[in-house]
Formats: sequence, structure tokens, C-alpha cells
Amino acid sequence: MGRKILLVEDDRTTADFIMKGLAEHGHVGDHAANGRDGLFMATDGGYDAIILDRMLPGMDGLAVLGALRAAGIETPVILLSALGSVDDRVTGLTAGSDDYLVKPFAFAELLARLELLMRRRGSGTHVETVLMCATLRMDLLKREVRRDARVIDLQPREFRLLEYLMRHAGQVVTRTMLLEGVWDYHFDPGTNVIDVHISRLRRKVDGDGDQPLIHTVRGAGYRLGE
Amino acid sequence: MTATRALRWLRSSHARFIGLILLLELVFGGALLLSVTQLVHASLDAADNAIARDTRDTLLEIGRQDGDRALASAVTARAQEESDAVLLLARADGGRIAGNLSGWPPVIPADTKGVKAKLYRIGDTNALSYTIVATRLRDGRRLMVGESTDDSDQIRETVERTLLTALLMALPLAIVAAWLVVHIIDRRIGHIAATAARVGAGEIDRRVPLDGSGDSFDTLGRTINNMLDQIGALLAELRTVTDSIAHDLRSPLTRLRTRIDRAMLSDNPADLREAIDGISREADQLLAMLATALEVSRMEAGIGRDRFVATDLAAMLVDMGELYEPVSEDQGRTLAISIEHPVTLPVHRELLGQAIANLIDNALKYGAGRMTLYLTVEGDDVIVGLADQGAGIAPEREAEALRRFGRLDPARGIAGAGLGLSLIAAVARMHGGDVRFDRRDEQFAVEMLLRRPA
Repeated sequence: MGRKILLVEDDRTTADFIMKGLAEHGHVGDHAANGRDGLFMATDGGYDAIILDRMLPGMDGLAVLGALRAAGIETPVILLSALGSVDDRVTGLTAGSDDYLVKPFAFAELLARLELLMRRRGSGTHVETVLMCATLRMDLLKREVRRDARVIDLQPREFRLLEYLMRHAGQVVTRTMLLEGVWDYHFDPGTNVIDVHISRLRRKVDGDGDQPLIHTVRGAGYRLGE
Repeated sequence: MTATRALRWLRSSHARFIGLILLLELVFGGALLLSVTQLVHASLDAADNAIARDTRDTLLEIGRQDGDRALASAVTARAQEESDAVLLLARADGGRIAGNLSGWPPVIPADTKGVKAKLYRIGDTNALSYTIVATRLRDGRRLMVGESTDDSDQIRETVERTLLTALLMALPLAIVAAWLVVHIIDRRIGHIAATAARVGAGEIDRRVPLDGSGDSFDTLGRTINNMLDQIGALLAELRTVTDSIAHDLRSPLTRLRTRIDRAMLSDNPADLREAIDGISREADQLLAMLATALEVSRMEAGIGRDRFVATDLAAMLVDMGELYEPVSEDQGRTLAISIEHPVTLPVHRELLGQAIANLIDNALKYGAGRMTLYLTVEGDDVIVGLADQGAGIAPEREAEALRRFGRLDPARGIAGAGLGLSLIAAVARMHGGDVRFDRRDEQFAVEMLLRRPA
């Protein structure tokens, strides 16, 4: 199902690249080339999410974000920025954005985070105690995971990793999203640290002969699903 | 035009300096003049008074020995022979018996040891100043003797005039002295200004000439020289960094270029796919290098200290160990965690986490054998270290290894940006500590010292 997304970005190449990607994935995108237009469209457009560049001519991204939040508009916002330091990220998040992505980025990363945001917004606040994906069943109260009838024995961290994947079943999650979601760190671990964790989990979850549920998505990350 | 220039000169430190010296000279000269005049006054008055008293005593003596008549005639005689004195022998009611005053002036008390007054003697047309002593005799008559202060007044005036002249003559001298002092200061400051100007114009090796006297100009010059040395060192470092960046960016960029060239020659979609993957990896590595270099620069500039939060370091080490345990095992290595001393410390969690990740990453890439990530305390320092059983960094190459982008030659073949250690060092310094290397028991350890806040 297509969503309505607003892109506020002054760089033509980046804007074209994102708009094309959104259209390919069935979303409807609107584009504003400066902060003022972006704020105007965001206030009455009824968007599902906003992709907001941090450095914009006329009105800077953080100012747009501040004005939006001050006006009581709670549309999820992903900030895009060429400022990549840890502190810039924190500044962006405390200013009211829901996520922060450093330029340059892979479109898959942007899309994965965007869908995560929109789903989070849709899911409401009800507490789930059992997560299901195909024949995989996770009981959060008993801390027990079963594939069909077989009980899968998981380390605490593996449990949290699988929980994260199951909560985002069907979506692409990137390595940095996993590091953020499971370990709460935002740096780039460099080596294939996350890959090894996933391959261990995969050995336990997708045992011999079962239908594989953990898929590698080339150039992006992983996806849990049939 | 000239008016504004004069006004500007008046505001200058030269004008203030000269003005100050003039003012001081006037104040001191004035004080001197005043005190000398006072002294001269006092001593001349005392002398005049003494003469008057002598005369009175002599007259009284005559009166006592030779009787009233003799006294009256002595007064008359004295009045005639002394041209600059007043003498008067009077009755109790002030009426004249003998002397050169027509009567007892009402302003003079009958008994006084010294009073000043202006009096007209008999026959005088001008009143003259006298210092006067008066005595009441036993039978009620009064005797007054006064000595003219005319001579003393003249001396006083001469002294005052001389001193004033000297003072006025000293003024131009003071101006000359002030100007000389200003000139000397100017010359010494001028050396410093000239040096600064030449450094500003690009002669970065130029230094302020020092005379070794240790005075404030010498100290100023020395301080400026130290500052210039520091700037020079920073420039040299900047040049090294720029050169290293150029060098280190060149190899991945060249690899990138080669891959693109090769991909362009191929028609096979599978080969193309693989080439693009490779290109993407190279690009990611370049970006990571730049991001880290930027982060290190920001830390060295002290940005981010406001983000410190109290963090349980033991838990953090366990987390990092857990994160890296699978990848270590995959490479046939073991990673142990050793907490000798649990500590909670305000730290920049993200950056410290990244630094610990770099420690492990370095040991995985360049080290060998069993790895131990440990936390301990040494005095005021909290130590986060990683030991392994590899050869480590040779002592003489430590500085080189810590340099930004510094990669030791044997490591150049291995993928990596050479930023790991410089980030570790920058994080340690951000936390008030430093990085150090430790070799013992066939082990090589890299340790981050984090200073505990007092």
C-alpha cells in the first residue's frame, strides 16, 4: 500500500534519486525545494512521513522541524544531514525528529527506516506478548521461542535480536538499525560484527530442512519473513 | 583634520604617559615648594621673635636695675637708633610713656610671647609688619617690643621665586624624560610588532629578538615566540595530516577507479553486480575514514564534553565483549572480559563505545591469540585496556602509530583506515586521560586512561 511522503530537499540529484526510489516502492512523493515551501506543504498536506534535509536555503531544516512541532504536527520526520558526528545526530533527535540519517546513504536504509517509522505510528500502543512469523513463535512473557514444536534455545542477546527482527517482520532492517535497536550504539562497527550475530541466529532459527525465514537483502541488510 | 589627529594623539598611550609624568612632576614640585616655604617661614619668624625678645629682656633688666626713668629713656633711645623696630612703654591704660608708637594698639594683648601685626609708627606713612612681644610690668605699666619682618619677607619671596623658577625649568626636562621613556618603550614594542607583522606576512620562522633580561618586554617576546612555535608545530602537523590524508585516500580511490574501469569492460550481469558491490564497499570505507577523521578533529577541539553521562563501564565492557564475541570466535580467537574494579564514570557513551570497538577491531586485525578486555583502576585513572598475545607495536613506532591516518607499513596491506588508534587516543584525551602501551608476560596491551573527576 502506498503512503504519502513529503521530501524537503534542495539538492536536485538527491531529490530525484529519492523521489524515484519512493515511486518504485509504490509511495506517493511530494517535493519541496526549500524550507519555507516544505513547512507550508507539511502543515496542510496530511503526510504519513516527512523526509527533511537539515541544511536548506531560506529556512534551515531544524527550524522547519521546530515550527512543525510547535504547531502540533506530529508527522514522523527523518532528518537527512551531511553532518555525521555523534553530537549532530543527538542535536537532530532532541530537536524533535524521529530518526536521523547521514548523507550519503543507501536508499534501502532510508526506505527501511521510513517504513519502520510509519508502521510504529500505525501500530498504536497495545502491548504484544506473543510475536509470530510463519511457524516461528516468540513468547515474550515466558522468554521462549519455538519453531513449530521445537524449542529454540537462545542467549539473551540473540533473543533480543530475534525479537527486533520479529517486531519488524517483512521489513528490511539494516545493520546500523540492528546495532541501534539491539545494542543501543550508533557507530559503524566496521567489520562484519552484525553479520556473524545474524548467521548464528540463522543457524538456530532456520535449522536443518526448515524453510529459511531470515533473508539477506543485498546491499541493505536483513528481512525476516517467508 | 589636524584637530581630529591631535584628539587622537591625546587619547594615545604616549600622550597619557607624558601627561602622567608632567602631573607627577607638578605634584611633587608643588609639595616641595610648599614645604620649603613653610620651613623658611617658621625659622625666619623664630629669628625675628628672638630679636624682639632679646631687646625686651635687655630693657626689663635696665628697668629693674636702674629704675623707671632709666627704662623710659632706654626705650626712647632704642626707638631712635633702631629704624626697623617698634618700642613702646605705656601706662596701664595704654597711654604712651616712651617709644615710637602713639599709643597701645587695641589688637595687641598686654602680655604676649609673639603676635604679628601691621603698625604705624609715629611719623610713618605706611603700615609695616612686625612680630611683637609684650609684657605687663609689676606696677601695671606695659612694655612692647616689635621687630620688623620686612627683611624676612624679602628672603621668603626670594626663596619662593627661586623654587618656582626651578619647578618651571624642570617641566621641559620632565617632558624630555617622558618622551625618552616613551621612545624606549616604542622601540622595544616595535621589535615585537615588526616580528608579528613579518610572521603575518608569511615569514612563519621569524622570532622576536630577546635580550635575556627577563623584564616584561623580554617575557612578552618569549611568550609570543612560544606561541609562534606552537603555531608552527600545528602547521607542520596539519601539513603531515593533509599529506597523509592525500596518501591514504589515494589508494582506496585508485582501487575504486580500477574496479569501475574493469566493470565498464564487462557485459556479464553477475560480474557487474559484484563490481558494484565492491565499489560500494570501497566508497563506504572512504566515508567511514572521513567520518572518523572528522570525529577525531571535533574531539580534539573539545566538542562533545557536554554529552557526558554517568555510565556503568563494567556493563559497557560486557556489552562490547558480547557484540564482538561471535566475530572473534569466527576468526579462531577468544575474547575474555576481566572486570577488576567496577566503575561508574561520566563518559561520552557513544564515543567511548566506538573506541572500545576500535580496540577490539585492532586486536582482531593486527594482533594474535587470546584477547582480554579489562577494566581496572589506578589512582585517579580508570583503565580500559585490551591485551592480546601478538607482537604489538614496537616501542620506537608508538608515536607513528598514534598519528592520525598513521598506519605502520606492515599494516598497510590490511584493510583499514589507520584511524583506530588516533580515535582511541582522542577519546581518552577527551576524558582527561591518554593512551599508553603495556608489554608484560608475553602480552601486548593498549590502554585508555580515563581521569576520574575529583
